[in-house]
Amino acid sequence: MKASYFGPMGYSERSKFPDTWPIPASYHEPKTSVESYQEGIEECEFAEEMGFEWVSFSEHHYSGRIATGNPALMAAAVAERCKRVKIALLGQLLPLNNPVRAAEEIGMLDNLTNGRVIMGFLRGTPNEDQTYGVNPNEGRARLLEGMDLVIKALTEPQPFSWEGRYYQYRTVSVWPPPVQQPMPPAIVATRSDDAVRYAAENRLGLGISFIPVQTMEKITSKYYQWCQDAGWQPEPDQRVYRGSIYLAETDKKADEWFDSLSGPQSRRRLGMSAAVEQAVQAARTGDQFDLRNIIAGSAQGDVAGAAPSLSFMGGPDTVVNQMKAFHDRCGTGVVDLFFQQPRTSHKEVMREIELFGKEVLPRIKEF
Amino acid sequence: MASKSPEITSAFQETLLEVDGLTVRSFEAGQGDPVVVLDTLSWGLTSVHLALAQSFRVVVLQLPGFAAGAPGEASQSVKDLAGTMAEAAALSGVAEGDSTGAGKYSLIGTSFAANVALWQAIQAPEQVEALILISPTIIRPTGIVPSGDREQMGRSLLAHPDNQESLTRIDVAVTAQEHELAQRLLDGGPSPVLSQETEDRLGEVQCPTLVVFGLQDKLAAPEAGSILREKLPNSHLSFIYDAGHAIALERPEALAGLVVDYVARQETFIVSQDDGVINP
Repeated sequence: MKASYFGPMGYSERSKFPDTWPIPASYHEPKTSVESYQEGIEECEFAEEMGFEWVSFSEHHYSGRIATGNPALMAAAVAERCKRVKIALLGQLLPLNNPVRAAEEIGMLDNLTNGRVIMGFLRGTPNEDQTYGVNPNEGRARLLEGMDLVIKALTEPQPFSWEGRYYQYRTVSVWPPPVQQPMPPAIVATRSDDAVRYAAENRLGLGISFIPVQTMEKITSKYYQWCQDAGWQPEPDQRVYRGSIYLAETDKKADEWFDSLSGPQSRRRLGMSAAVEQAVQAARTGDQFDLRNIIAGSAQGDVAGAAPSLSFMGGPDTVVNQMKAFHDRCGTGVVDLFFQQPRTSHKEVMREIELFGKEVLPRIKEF
Repeated sequence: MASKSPEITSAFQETLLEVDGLTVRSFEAGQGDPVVVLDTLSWGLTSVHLALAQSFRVVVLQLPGFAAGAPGEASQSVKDLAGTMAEAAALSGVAEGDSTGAGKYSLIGTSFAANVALWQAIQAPEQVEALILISPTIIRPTGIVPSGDREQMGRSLLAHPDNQESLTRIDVAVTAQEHELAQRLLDGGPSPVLSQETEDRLGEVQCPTLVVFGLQDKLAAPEAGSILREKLPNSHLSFIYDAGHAIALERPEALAGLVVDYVARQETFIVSQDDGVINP
């Protein structure tokens, strides 16, 4: 099993944010923000030094908790400092974006990194739908079409036009094409049957985030069956789990940290007004895997604001066992780890990375 | 039967043209610049034909023999058949009174008929204003030929073979005929590569050319679009998302919008005319 350092580049004073989304720009202080990005980059560098094999970035908006509205931009900056690790975009929110632009960013990044890019596609959490005014009801279909378009844009050697349901481009000709041919490895980050099936039928990897191992097992079982039906088996690097982590020297210390948390973890809503929340969810009807309280960038988000969303917690032995469960039950080959909990400082994160590199990573590599 | 949709059928006037000892069925509708569509009508007259007729004078010419019995037995090659269809187009009078006075028409061919249209454009360039090749089977993958029952054909022709509405539009007998004829007439038979003769002549097609494929077309080799785009001098390649070989059955609005726009604007169709203003 490999480890990936998820770089959210969180604003260091994020514990002072309100538990609503979006976070007003009035909370932004330039000096703190600049330092926060530098600290985030240092964490990536240190993760590479400690043996992590990937660093990853996700597109999230309007929140200093995951301050990477453009993950390709962040990845390009980090790639200049981290020269060995894979640079994983996990990923771009295709329903929100121009997929041709996404393909251009992937192509550029793969050239800038000499072929170290792993690309990932996802729909995004319900609050993300509000970012650029996309109808939440269209998100899934936009994701499916967007993936086809990105792949075609990266692999077609001649200029072409695209007549889609949601996208129409009469001239597409991505330059530069990726270094990795025919295209960089791709991960579909999803829990939904249609997108899982898409990944299987198109021989793409599967990334799943922030759910318990027993739930993940149900999804990966379907994925593996559909891969088998399509005549192939995914490699370990194509089986990714993103989880949040708090690693301490002992279980007791980790428990003490968790018990010290108070406040927003008891809140179970999206961070938007009740009326907006209701409208968004209604528009996404049928999305059985929308975790109503798991919202990227919100106080209850995919971090330790709520106990169920903390995937790995404890001392090294416990965390190794937790990760082994994902490996043994779900076939997970890469764990993408979110260390920047709301109330952990840069210094604490660096300590955790070091501890992980020394006490956990050598053991999970043997899985 | 040419169409299972009475409203589409009733919009077209059918006549029979005698050419080279063969009978060619002709369906005409609409006013405006002339458009000739070569088709086996494997899935009948469609809303794409109707959409064209709303903007142009359209003559749909069914390749001879497909309505009844063995197809095109008098034709020894695609080139022969292309000559026959060029005569049929002239006989239809579609280009008479053309606003340009040039007597030219836009030429559209679908599936096997696209191969015929291509050769018509090569052999009679003075007649062809613009060429549109929809799902051409000029470069085919090895071993995939629609055959068997409707469901088996659907798996070859459709991106979504479980869609009963699309499936029931496929004329099984005509589709089987079309592909038998394709195997007999296309030089080299089913092949993943372009025949040398065809490849050598592609550069002669100087008119604006649009090559259209469904993204999930299983009857065309994956590289077919790229090769045609590269070798046809003034060509543009389009992909229709979420469609297989029978694009007109699965994404008719997308295909009609593209083709009508291309006939009207040719290579300038890439220039957007959409109004981006939300409120003035």
